[in-house]
Amino acid sequence: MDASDIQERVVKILTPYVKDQEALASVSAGTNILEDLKVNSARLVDVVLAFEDEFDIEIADEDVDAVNSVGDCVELIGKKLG
Amino acid sequence: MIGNDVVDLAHPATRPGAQHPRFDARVFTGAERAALAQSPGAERLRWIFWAAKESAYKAARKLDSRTVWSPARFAVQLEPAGPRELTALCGVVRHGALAFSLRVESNAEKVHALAFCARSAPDALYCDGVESCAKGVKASAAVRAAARREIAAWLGAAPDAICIGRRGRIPTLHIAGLPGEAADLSLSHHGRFVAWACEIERAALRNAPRRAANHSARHGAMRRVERHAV
Repeated sequence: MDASDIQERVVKILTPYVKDQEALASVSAGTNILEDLKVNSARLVDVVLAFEDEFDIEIADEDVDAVNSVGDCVELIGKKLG
Repeated sequence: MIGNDVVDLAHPATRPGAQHPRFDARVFTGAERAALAQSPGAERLRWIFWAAKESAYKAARKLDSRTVWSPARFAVQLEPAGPRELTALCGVVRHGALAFSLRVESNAEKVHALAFCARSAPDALYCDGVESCAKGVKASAAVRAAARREIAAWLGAAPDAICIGRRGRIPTLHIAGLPGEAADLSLSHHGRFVAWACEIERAALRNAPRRAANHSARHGAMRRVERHAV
């Protein structure tokens, strides 16, 4: 699975949790999940669990803490998928 | 150091069944999950636990910037609720060797939690508040305006003596006449509500020029403000 496939699936999972739909329309690897998309911290837990389900991986809280942007998600998931 | 968190219980994210099926297992300790299983008010208790963890994390992050947001590692212990049930609770949130004192106020509309590390400021004064945010107003601006207004009123200072900034994602508070490290601030907003909490070292206030921060002992050690639009 290449990075663009992962990003497409990441954005699809994020979409129902995004408060700022304008930011979602112009989403890129640099888009910040909390500050730009305004996904709140409780919703972020749901997002992480959905990533685990979608990609059949486990994501530790330490990994989540280091993720800020959509690109960070893609990179983390790519690494987990090996 | 102080942290606070507000949860709007009418927000779509907090409605029963809106969370991922593994949400509770990821976020709560075994003891917290047992309490949820036994509580007739589990839906509200779930967000009381959450707000307690968030508020303690905000305080912990200021004590150690390496603190990881790992909700299950912030263990909430509530004192027996008593006759007021879930409306006003005290307790403690433990994270490693740290213990944060906890106060939670809640009703059918919202939960507001306040956590502070008494060890970091053994003789501090606290003021916190929650209010509804008018529609169309940016919550991040509304919470800063509310905090500035109410802290100024609490201290008997002019609003322009209160300066709220940020260091990364952490809000900072500077009060004219007080050393920068004497005051700490936490801001929160969710759904219809904004909330803030402030901690000020009592000794710094005693030494402050009266015109800058005309605080006096007329205020108790803790003050709570609640305002809502009609």
